[in-house]
Amino acid sequence: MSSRLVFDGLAELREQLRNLPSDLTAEATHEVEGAANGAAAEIKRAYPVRTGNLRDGVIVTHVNQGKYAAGALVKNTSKHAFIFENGTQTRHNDLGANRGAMPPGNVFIPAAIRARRLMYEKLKAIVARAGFTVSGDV
Amino acid sequence: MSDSSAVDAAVITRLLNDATLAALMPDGVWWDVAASGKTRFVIVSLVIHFDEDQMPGTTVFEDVTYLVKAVELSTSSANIQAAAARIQELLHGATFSVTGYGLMSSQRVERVRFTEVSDDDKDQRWQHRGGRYKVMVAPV
Repeated sequence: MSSRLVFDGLAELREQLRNLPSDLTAEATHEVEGAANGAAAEIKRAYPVRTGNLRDGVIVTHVNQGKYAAGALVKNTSKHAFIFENGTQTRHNDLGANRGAMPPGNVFIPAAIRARRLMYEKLKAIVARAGFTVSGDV
Repeated sequence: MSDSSAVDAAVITRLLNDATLAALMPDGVWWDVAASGKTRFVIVSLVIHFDEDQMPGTTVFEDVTYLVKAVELSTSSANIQAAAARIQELLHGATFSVTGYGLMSSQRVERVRFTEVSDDDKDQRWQHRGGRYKVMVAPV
């Protein structure tokens, strides 16, 4: 006597599992790009504006990371962005008058940290919605 | 009631009370900006602070990131290198007390190093070296 066990829907499950990485990538790309754009907007709002160079130097590059990854880069191309963020000892106005040391601006890095934390929560939710258990924190 | 300023104070005290760092950076430890005329000092600045709540109004722990850097007017990098290394020893993986809190962790998350040419003397250099340190504390 022979017996046979049939799993209905196994082919569909296999198909879903095969498509899972690309489906998750599509959702994740949306969240990563949103996080980068949000961070850039927050940074631009927070910068002081004199010539506007600091604010106008903020750019977002959406990085194509391949089929199963998502990436975006927020960058400030302004020449003085780095010293604005970290503080400077040498600060002179256009006429050469010494204006003294400038404290760290702390604009770009905090916005990036905030955006990254929110993005991680959203990425965790995507994976959880797909049926995975996500533990730990960042 | 825990006061978040106590975390700032604990970091500054940790740096201020160290004789080795004081010998390397004799002009002291300053919040955000040093007094004018100082040429060898440490700057501490708040980058970002998060309260992690378990329930609304109940902070389980606080997550604070500081920029901590040695600043020196010098063309030689020997002294500032030693000062940055000492900051790292004092804060990375360190154990220190914070009034009203228990220290969970203290670690460097990013290194910072840059040089400015002095506008007053083009042969002089302001050197900055240190890092961003993440300090996590739980109110007690």
